[in-house]
Amino acid sequence: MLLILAGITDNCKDGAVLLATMTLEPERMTVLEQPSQKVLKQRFASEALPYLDQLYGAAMKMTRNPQDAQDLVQETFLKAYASFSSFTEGTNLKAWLYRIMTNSYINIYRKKKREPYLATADDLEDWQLAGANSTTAMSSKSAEAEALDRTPSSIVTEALNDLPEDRRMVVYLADVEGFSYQEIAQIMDTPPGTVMSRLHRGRRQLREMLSGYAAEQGFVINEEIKK
Amino acid sequence: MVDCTCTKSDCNCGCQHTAEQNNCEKTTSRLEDLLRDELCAEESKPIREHLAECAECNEEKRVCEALTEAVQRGCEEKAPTQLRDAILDALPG
Repeated sequence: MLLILAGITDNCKDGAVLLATMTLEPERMTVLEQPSQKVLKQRFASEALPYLDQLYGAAMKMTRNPQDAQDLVQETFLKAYASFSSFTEGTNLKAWLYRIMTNSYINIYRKKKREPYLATADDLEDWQLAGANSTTAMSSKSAEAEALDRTPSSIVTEALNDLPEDRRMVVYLADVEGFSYQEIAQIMDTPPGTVMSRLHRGRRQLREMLSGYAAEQGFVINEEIKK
Repeated sequence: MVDCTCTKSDCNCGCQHTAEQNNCEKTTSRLEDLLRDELCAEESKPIREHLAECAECNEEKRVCEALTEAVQRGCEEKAPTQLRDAILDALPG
């Protein structure tokens, strides 16, 4: 029965199981039969720790500096471990970790900077983000695609870091981690429609920035890559 | 449906016919959702059909994919080696 359930949740796209797991408050969970710390720690090391690089990548996108990213990742794993015994096997561990990290980030960020999280750019009007589709600096779409292929990763990183935070995180979670809109909605605690509009706007903005870069560089991009 | 010459590689159908223009706009607006497998069969069918015959929209698709690949490239990170040990050390038990 357990195996069948695990199979179903793996394929579950509606995120209901994910939601059920995420909304559990670890502090309120009573665990009747707690496995020994050693077994738990081993299981945690083999199942959760492999996501270290990925979570670090996301933390770098959130904090934009290595020291804060390391602190955030460490905090995330400690919190995750504290409630790992109540984590239901077969549900989406990766999304669960991302949810914990997003919450941790919100708490730390708010404490540090006293600024609201994820409330930056949804109010910007579309005219303020004139579409890359219509005003692209590239002469043609195939040239644009080729320029994107040749854009150095450091330039892409910079452009991403210049995106408003809410868009940057949605783009990251969708493009790099491959989460569905529904999963991102769960992780960021926001409606799927908002995820979609942030993703579209974020990518459009990014595309415009990178087109601008390619237009500035011209052939220089090619030469840099050949070196 | 307007008979269009979209199968030609140099087709500019987006600007030629109203019906095709609508198709191009609709396709472009849902293209990302299609590539992410977020559309149901009913929604994706006309878009796939249009993509099969429109060079312009295929170029747009290529830009979308190139952007995703660029983002992935720009996000490659490897956690510092000491971080894994620090986490393991900090875990109780």
